[in-house]
Amino acid sequence: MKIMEQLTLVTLVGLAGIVLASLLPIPFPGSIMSMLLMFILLLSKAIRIRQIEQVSQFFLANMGAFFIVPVVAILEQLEVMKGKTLQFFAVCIVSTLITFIATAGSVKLTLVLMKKSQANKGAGQ
Amino acid sequence: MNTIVNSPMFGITLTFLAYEFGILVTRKVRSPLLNPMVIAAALCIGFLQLTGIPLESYQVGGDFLIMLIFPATTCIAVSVYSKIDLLKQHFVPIVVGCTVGAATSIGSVILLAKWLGLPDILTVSMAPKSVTTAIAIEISALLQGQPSLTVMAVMITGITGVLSAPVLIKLFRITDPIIQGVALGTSSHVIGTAKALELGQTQGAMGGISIFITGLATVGVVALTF
Repeated sequence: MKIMEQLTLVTLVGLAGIVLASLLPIPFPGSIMSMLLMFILLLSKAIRIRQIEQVSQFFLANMGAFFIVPVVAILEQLEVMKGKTLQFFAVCIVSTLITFIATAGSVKLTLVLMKKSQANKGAGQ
Repeated sequence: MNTIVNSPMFGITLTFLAYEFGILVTRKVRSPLLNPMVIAAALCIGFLQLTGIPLESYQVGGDFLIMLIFPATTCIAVSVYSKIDLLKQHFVPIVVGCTVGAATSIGSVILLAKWLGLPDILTVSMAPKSVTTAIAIEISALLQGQPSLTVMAVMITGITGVLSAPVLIKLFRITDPIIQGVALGTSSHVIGTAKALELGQTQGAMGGISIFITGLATVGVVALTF
């Protein structure tokens, strides 16, 4: 498909995501709903990868460029951050380490439990 | 001069030039501390400070770029769909790991921030730090956080993940590529996944899937906590 058609398809799914999210009883970001919706449309083959290939590759490869502006806006937040920068870094760093360990541990545990239940099933037969 | 800096083209061009420069630098010097986005943001900040051009002028064009985050988020689905076989194969451990990770990340941020006596605005801005920037910004907005603080937290998190992963993998003797990939993707999103790709193809793919699932899990955890 032509770039413009691909882009239209992506923005259409985006708009549908906003509509769907607004119907939920809880606050839910429209963009994340549109991501979920796109995933479901791809799974059900209602949309094929080739129909959005170039546009999605462009967005995925250059996503970093769209986040520069929010980072630059940190200039507005200097007052809030005053005297708290060190703590801000510390919370992010320590929490990331804890998250890594907790995630690795829970995946490991799940794999062990799944193996055990499979072995039990095997023994029962 | 005013007509130039107040045109949307000013903010857009400055951002694009800075980003291209950032890519050029990261191609020459490979380091987890350097990322095109961080370099570009530092350049733009430096330029605005030196010239005295107000942030509002930069944001005229900048706002246009921010609008593109939405369709970019929609497209994240494509990167996960291309790894659908791995997701189906390891569905349960991935979902468990990402959910536990998302809850741990948010919970530990709230507890640590409270302990250090940080104001609420910083806490809610940091809460979604372990998910990819596009999703983190949305969650931060939902919690009335500051997007710029959130992007900062997301960057610090990514860099921490890359630097600490090799040490943690050795320390806890994590040999399974699935566990390595999910742990990296869940704790430190895209930047962690880039590191996971260095460890191997499976790790990289698992990291990519984890970004998506952790993003969804984080939205769920946030809906329940706040």
